[in-house]
Amino acid sequence: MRLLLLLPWLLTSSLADAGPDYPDGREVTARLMALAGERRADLLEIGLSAGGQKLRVLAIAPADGRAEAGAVLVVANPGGTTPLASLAAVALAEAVLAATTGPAAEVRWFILPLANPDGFDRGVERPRAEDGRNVTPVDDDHDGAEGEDPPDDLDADGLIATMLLADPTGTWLVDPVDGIAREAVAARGERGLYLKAREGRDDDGDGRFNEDGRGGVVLDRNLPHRYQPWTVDGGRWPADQPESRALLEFAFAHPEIAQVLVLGASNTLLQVPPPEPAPLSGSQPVRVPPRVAEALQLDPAQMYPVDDVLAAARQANRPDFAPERVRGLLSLGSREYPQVADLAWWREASARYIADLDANGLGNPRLPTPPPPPGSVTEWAYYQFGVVSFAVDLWSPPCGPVVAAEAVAAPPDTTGRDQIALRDVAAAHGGHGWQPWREVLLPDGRRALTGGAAPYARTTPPFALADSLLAAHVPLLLDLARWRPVLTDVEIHVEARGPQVWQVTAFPRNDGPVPYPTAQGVLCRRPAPLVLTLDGAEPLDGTGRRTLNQLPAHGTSSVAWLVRGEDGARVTITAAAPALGTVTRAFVLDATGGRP
Amino acid sequence: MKRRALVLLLLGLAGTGSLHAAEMPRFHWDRYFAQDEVDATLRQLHDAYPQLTELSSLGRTAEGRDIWCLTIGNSRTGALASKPAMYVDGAIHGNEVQATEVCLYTAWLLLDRYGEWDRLTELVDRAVFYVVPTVNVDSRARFFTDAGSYNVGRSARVPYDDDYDGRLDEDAPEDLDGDGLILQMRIRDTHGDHRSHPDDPRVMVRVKPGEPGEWTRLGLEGLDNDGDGLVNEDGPGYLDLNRNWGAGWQPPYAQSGAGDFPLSAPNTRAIGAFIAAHPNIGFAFTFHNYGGMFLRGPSNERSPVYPPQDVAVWDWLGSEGERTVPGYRYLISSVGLYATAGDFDEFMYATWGVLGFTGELTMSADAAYRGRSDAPDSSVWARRPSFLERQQFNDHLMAGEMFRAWQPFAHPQYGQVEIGGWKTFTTRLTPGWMLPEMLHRNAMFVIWTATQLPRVTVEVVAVDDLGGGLRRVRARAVNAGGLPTLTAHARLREIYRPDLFTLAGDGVTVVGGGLLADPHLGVLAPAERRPARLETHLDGFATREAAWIVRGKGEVTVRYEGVKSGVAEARVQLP
Repeated sequence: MRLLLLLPWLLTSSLADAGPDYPDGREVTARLMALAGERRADLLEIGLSAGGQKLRVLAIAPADGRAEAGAVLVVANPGGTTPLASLAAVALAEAVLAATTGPAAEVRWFILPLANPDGFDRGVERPRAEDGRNVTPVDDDHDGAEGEDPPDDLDADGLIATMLLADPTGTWLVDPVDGIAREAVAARGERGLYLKAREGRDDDGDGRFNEDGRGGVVLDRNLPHRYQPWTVDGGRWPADQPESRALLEFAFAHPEIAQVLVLGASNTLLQVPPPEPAPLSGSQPVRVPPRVAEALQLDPAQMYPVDDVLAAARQANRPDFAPERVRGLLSLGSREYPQVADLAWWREASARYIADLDANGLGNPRLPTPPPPPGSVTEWAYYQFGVVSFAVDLWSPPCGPVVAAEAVAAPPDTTGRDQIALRDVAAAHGGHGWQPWREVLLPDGRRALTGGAAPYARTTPPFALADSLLAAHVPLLLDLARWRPVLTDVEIHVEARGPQVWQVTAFPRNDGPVPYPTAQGVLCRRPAPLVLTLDGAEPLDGTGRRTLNQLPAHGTSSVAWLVRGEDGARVTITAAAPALGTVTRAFVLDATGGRP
Repeated sequence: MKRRALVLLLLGLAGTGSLHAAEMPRFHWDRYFAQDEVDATLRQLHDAYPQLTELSSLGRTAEGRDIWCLTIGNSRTGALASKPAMYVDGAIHGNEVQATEVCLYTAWLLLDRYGEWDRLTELVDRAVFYVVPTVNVDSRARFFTDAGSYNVGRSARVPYDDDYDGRLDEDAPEDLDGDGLILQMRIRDTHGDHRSHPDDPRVMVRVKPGEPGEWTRLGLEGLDNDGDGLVNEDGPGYLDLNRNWGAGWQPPYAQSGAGDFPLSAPNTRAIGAFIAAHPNIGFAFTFHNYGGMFLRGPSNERSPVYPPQDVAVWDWLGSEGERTVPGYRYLISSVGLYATAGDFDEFMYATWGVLGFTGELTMSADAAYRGRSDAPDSSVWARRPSFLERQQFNDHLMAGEMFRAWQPFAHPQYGQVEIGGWKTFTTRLTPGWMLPEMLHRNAMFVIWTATQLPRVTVEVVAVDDLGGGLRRVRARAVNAGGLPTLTAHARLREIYRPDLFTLAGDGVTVVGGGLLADPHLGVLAPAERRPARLETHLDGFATREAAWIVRGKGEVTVRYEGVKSGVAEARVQLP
């Protein structure tokens, strides 16, 4: 089993207090490059990180040797703080190379284990602070200096943990029973004793602690969907970082990508996003912007039902003007909720995934994963790239079912709920991941406590669990490749319409559980459309080349030509799209209905 | 001219060489500059004033052309990067060509009058101009070399599948009759919705209900190249560079022409990097055509809130623009024109906290053939002259050269059609003889606005002995410019470091200090930490006072340093 080869990493380095450590980026890269020598694999360099590290994609051709196939793009650890995700990507690549049948063997894979290599590296630096940012200079506190007040390892344990600073205005305390830090509850007569901060000094004397470390931007905050400006770690504008540009340029250059799988902290199969609470309905009255109204010959002062605006747009522009494009006409901006039609396959994928987790012993209650952040890779892939996109994590701290339910209902943790789970995880693994509180003195004589959850403890399991987690999860990741459209055949019907005139109808068939494109893909006009081309007869109603708006899941749509041709003439119809591959069917024009 | 020569001579003697190295060529501003002439002009300006200019390529376009930036400023009076800067660009839409001429004229005026016009000389010595005459270089170049139309060439030359048929740019308009123009096509049709105007057969008017038709309009000259039943539906591009910027960017389904992602085009990427590297930019003009407007954001309903302090500055500048260029209107783009996402205005304001205007050059009303009795219209869109009036302007002022009369043409797909219409350098483009005034007025609005860039001075107003070796040093910073050193938006979103009002001296220790909450009462708002380094800003035409309690003696330096206002200092000796 290839996964067992991960075991040497267990021995690479250790910290007295934090336990055996994860491998660094060089080791992950070495493992990936070793796979590049396999017969079906090819290593692509798609760009450089802000720190000048190569962004390497392992491209793996389908096992059955087909030249054209839809592709799955795997983007691992874009947030930079989930090293297990990068290991999972390498393990997935190994498993893909070993697969000879099933969905994983039928597609092309593009696997990027270190999407954010600078951020990954920060996780193995000492002292260790949870930080997934690249090395782009950022003046976090906008004071004109960069990195002048980083966190400090006050207790010299190699970790930047939590600091509780004794202060008369403090609102935090250490729970006398649980030993975790939580906010004091005044209603219970409790009084706060501490201010809470990351471990460190006020190096620049501005009254703030650790407010300007080494800067950097996180790839998973920097993509264009739901991008949040003016944040510390999101960049100046969407996709202003080299990692983001490299990823986007690679994706747009590969129209064969039919699915994006993000391995990181979020899981959109465990927590499927909800539908739009108040979708734009056809009867909803809207005002039309003046210039649009002028073009559509509508009155900008009047309210129109959305359906009327759509009808006017179709009359003025094109008869096939898509309903969702009305959003653009009305300047409503991009969608922020999945299309209802897409939730059909998304929820089905979720149900199967959860069942598989249970079957693999991974279904125990655990703390919920965070939703994808603004500017995430996974949301960009669905909302703007238009393809199936799943975000999958591999671990979060186990907890009781009641705690898990509470955590879903009230995600921000001020009561110490999550810390208790982290402490319990640590207790089960020799204390690794939890530091007892210890007193330290700051240079100005102030007293503080440091300790609590170790960096990465919320997202990353003790390394001792890594192999078993990978062994259990990788088959599930392989199986996710099934969630894509699959062009299997083109059925042909031929009907005589008089001497040498025929109605030829093609029914391309999708045997996959996802339509092509997705409903969001129809809106985005991505990936490239399915094109059907007829050769061997003269079309009487246009050209031999037609496109299909959408091919339904496990179904077909029809494309018809009226053609002129000799009885018995040999005709071919080719259906092709980069993300689907190509199917060609030859038949003869006769009254038997299109025999091969 | 003698005076200018003397100034230049003196400056030359004071430094390492003359500011004026070569004779400035004589430019003719009553015509349009093809793109190779634009490049040559920039080189000539640089060659004539090598010590007042830097000419650099910010990057290359999709077709490999340079995106030039001419920097104008006097490095002998201080490092350019530390001076307040005006950014000016043009022709982000390649068919909006006269925007480039405004940029060139602005550059030429600043250089040609240097040493002659005092205010311009002072401005070039004090501030910096970054002039990017053409953003969409490829399409503007092709506007002069390819068969075209005033409406063709907006997009960058980045292929795009406009009609989602799996092919890129496969059905562009064509010059079918080989006259070098892409005009309009019409077909005779008794069921059509247009007929010829009874007073001028060149003009078509919409038929009234029940009235027989004469023509159906077929759009731009061209073929259905791909046989999909649509004509000219997938021409070169479409990537609208002015929907490709990074603030409020929306994907193409929500904003046509947005591009794959923000700053995905080489042009926006190159200019975005330049702007990021020049935080001293304090104001930005971007010139387009047409309509006669100075536009600002908000660009759409999702734009950030524009603080009233910034709007007040904009309103003041806009009203000045309306007077400097009569007929032009100062408008909010999303209200007075239309909503956009990913435009340059909002990128500069939302991302960089920089105020600016989109200058929409050329008014339809310029093509006036009106008598005294023709009352002016009040709305932007209603004030267009009728097509009949435009033809009268064409006949009386351009001898009919603006319009190609309708001519029969045997179209291979439609059959017999007629081709005709307004020629390329009409409609959105000011006739050459009217260009000089338009260029000068717009350039002077840019220059006048540049005079309002922050102009900060510092003075020590009092030194009081507090006894016991302590002194109180009181200083005042004054911004004589109308623009703030940092906009309210920039402060709210913490886009830059605040300005620093500092006191330092080798023999002095600062024990306390702060800004004066009320300078008249002398009430101090003490800084709890780092009192020697006070964070602040200056509004336009505003002052800020500070006081420091210091111990020691010797020379102290009071300094005001702003990202966009540069450095101002005053020194005082503490005995």
